[in-house]
Amino acid sequence: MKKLVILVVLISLNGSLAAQENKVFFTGIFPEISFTKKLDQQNKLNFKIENQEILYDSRDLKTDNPQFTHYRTDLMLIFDHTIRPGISIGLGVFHRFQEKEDGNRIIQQLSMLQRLRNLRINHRVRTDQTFTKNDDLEVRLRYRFSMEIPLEGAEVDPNEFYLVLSEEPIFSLKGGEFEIENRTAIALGKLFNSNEKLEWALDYRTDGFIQEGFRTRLWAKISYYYNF
Amino acid sequence: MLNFNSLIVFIILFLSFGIFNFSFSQEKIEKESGIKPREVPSAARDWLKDSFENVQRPKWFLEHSQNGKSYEAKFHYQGHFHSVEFDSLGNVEDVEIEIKESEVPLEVWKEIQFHFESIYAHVKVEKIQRQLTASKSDLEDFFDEEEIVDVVIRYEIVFQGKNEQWELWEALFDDSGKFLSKLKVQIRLNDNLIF
Repeated sequence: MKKLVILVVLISLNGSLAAQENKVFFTGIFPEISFTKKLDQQNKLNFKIENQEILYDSRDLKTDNPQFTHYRTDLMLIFDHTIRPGISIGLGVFHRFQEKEDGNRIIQQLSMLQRLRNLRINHRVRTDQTFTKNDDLEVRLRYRFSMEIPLEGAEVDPNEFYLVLSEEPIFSLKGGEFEIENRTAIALGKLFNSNEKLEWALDYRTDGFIQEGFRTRLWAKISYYYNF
Repeated sequence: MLNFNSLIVFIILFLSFGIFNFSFSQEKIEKESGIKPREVPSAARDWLKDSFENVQRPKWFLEHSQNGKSYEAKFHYQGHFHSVEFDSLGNVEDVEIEIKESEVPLEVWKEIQFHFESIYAHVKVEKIQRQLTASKSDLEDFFDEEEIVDVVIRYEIVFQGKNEQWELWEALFDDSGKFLSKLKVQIRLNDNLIF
C-alpha cells in the first residue's frame, strides 16, 4: 500500500510540474461542502457548494502573483434514486456564480458501485446542459471512474483513512465545436463515522485539446461530506 | 461575493483544523486493521501453517468490536479465497471459503433456490461462502486429511432480492440448504463517489 501511495504522489507531482511548463496554468484552492439527506430507503437529496479561488495564474503579471481571486462558486442540488443496491440514477440543477454571466445547468447521471473484496470502484456517467446568458448552449458527456482504497485494513471503518483515485474524461459540444477535458484526482480521506468524512485532494484538470487555448488547472481541494 | 466566498473557505479550513484528533460525533465502532504476522498469537499462525501447508503470505487482520478482539487471516488457497477467524488467544473459530454456485451440491442449491423463490420475485446472488465450524483439531483434520468429522458446514450467501424494491441481504443456510437466518446489508454511503 505504501508503494501505491508513493507512486500516485509521484504521478501527481509529475503532472503538476508538466502543467507549469504550459502557457495557461492556474492553481488555487477548492473547498467544497456536501450535504446528503436520506429521504427514504431509495431516495436521497444532495446539496453541494463548491468554491474555487485562484492563488496563481500564469496569464497575469508576475507582480500580480500570488493572488486570491474568486474564479467560481457553484451550487448544486441532485435528487438520487436507487434502482438496485449500488446502482442509482440522479437528476440535478446547478447554478454557477462567475465573473461574467452566471450559468445554469441541468444534470442527469447514472452511478454504479462495484464492491470488491477490499476496494470499491464507482462508475458515473453524467450528461449535462449548461445555459449561460449571451452564450451558446453547452452539452457534455462525462464518465468518471473512481476507486476507493482503504489504508487501514480490508475496508474503511470509522476513524480510518482511505485513498480515492479518480479519472474523468469530459466530452463537450458548444456552438458546434467539440472539446475534451480531463480531470484526474487523488484524495486522502478520513471517515469519522457513518455520516461524516473529510477529503484532501489534488485535482488536476486539462482542457482545450481540440480547440485553441490548451490550459491546465491544479486545485488543492478540501471536501467535507455530511449525511443525515 | 468576496465575503461569501471567504466565509466558505474559512469554514472548511476551520473544519479541517485538528481533524486527525477528533470526531464530530460518537457511534459504535467495529474496526479491523491490517497487522504484521509477528503481531498474531503463535497458536493462530501455527494452526494455519499445519492446516494449509503451502499457503503463501496470508494477510492478517485484527478486529475490535463490542465482543472484544479477534484475528483473521485472508488468503488464496487452491483457487479459492479463504478467511479464517481466530479468537483473541489464537484459537480457530471458523473458516469461510468463497465458492461458485456450481460448487454447492446440487440438492443443497435446489433447496436454497426454493427458499429464494418462496420469498422473492427476483434474486441475484453476489457471493457464496462455505462456512466450516468445528474444534481446532477437527478443522485441521478436515483441511490436511479431508476428514469430515464433527464439522458443521453452512452456506453464507450475499444476495440482492426484489419484491417491491431491490434489497441486499446476507443469509445463512445449513448443509442441506435449509434457511437459518438473514441480515440486511447496508452499503456504506458513497456520496463522495457519486456526487
